[in-house]
Amino acid sequence: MTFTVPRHDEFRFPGWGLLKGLWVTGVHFLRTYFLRNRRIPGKELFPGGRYGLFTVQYPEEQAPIPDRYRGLPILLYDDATRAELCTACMSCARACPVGIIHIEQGTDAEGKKIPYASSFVIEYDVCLNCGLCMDACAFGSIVLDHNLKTARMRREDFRMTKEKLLRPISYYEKIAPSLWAEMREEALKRLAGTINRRPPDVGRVPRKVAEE
Amino acid sequence: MELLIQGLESLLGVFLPYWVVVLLAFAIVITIILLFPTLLFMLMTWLLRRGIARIADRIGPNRVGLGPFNRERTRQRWTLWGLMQPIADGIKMFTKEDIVPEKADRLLHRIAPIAAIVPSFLVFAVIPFGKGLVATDLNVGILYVVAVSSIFTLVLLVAGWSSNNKYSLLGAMRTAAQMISYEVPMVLSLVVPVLFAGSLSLNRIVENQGAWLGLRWHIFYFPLGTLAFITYFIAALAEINHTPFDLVEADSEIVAGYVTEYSGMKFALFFMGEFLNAFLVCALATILFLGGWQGPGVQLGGAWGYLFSIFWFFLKTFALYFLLIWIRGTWPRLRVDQLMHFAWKRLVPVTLVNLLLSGLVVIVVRTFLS
Repeated sequence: MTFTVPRHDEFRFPGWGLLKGLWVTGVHFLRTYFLRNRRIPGKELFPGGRYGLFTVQYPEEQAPIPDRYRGLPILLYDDATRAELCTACMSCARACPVGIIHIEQGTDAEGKKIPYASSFVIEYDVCLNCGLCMDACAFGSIVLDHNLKTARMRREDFRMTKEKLLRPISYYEKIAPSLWAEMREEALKRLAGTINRRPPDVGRVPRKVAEE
Repeated sequence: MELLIQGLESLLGVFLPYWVVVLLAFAIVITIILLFPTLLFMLMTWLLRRGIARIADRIGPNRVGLGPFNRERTRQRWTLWGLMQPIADGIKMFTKEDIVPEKADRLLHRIAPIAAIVPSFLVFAVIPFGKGLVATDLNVGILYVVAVSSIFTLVLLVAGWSSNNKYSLLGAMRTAAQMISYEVPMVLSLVVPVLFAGSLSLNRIVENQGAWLGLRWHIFYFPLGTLAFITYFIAALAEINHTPFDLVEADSEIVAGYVTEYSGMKFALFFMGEFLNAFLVCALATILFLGGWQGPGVQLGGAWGYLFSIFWFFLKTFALYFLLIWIRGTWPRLRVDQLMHFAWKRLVPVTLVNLLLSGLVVIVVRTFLS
């Protein structure tokens, strides 16, 4: 089998290719004044095809973030019961390649361990956004946020305690509906079991925090 | 000039001797001539960035404007399409660290960027921007323009050599070779409108194109004038190191050419020189081939005629500059051997034949038809 490579050695008017190039860029130039080609949430991805202004002027406008965007990890709690999904099983801490997740399991008055994290710290400044903690979590508790503004003024501000990490499930359902739909059934089933194994009012987000 | 001197004398002649008035008039004109290219440079950088951005489906700089910030402090309220961007760039350039290489020839390294803008400023003195709006109407205008603007080649060599850097030197040698080669076809095509007008004075050449309501441009002297315009434009593109011939900026080969070792405002001065050269090339093309400030409405008396002449001149010049931007956003660059091949084997013969034919036609017309 042989391939014939086109040589393009037929006569063409000198400079014809240059003029064709000018035509292409000229059309691009003009169409930016009539066509915006932003990605708008809920609409077709690039409405203008190859033409139009692609620029999204970030602070004022923002392109939609895909569900699987890997931001920084957060913890979830149930809206209705305010119960944290985390059982302090340490899977995420072990999965973390940089070891920035620090968990302490809570105990009751007799020193018996109960399935909730009394302290849960993530050092955001070292986080790789790899998402391995989310994959390791069997309870659907630790998930990746869609935050873009991650700059802080001091290093201590990157030390995220449990209070700062907790978000309601409804928030996660809003930013990543498809991912939550996948894990929803399993997570809620396990959450019910977790609540049964905890003493009442342990591992719950304070009502005041939840209402904010 | 004479008008200005007379006006100043009628105003201040009572208090000041005549020679002071003349000096004052010169000072005013010189200030304008020094300020105007600087402002022009700023406008041109903005135009270039906006134009290239639109070609690449972007917006370009649109943040820096006048006025207070909005409530979120993210953006100014009157952004004016980013028109103040060159001022921000200028402040940045002025506050940057100025690095001189250790083994560089310090004196020449310092002189080169200053010398780079001098020829451009000098050429501005003879450009007729409108009816009677010319600083000095030299009777050998074109000769002066060509002679002065070829100083730039020397400046390039000085800059490249004094940097003591192989990329600088290679870039400078390359550019010097390119500019000297393309000067030949450029001058050969410049002479064609000179033949048509029978004068070297830029003002006379413009006046020669004033018939037919100011539309009897040299480019319409088909095919000689048209061909001369095309060859002039191509050679001029190479002369100012513009895009299809921008081998100086071939960063994969020679980093940044002769400006490799320059930083801060010195770098900006080289840039200014190149931008002003681009404007001058467009202005010269306008004057020689597109009728300069001639156009419908210039024949009106009084202020309207002057305003129209300025309007036409800048409209044509900036239309040509837009063509430069357009080319810059479109075409790839040539190889060195292609560049030299094109200059000596294609452009020079074409321009020579064109010049000969033009001379013949001019003689025939002058002898038999007038």
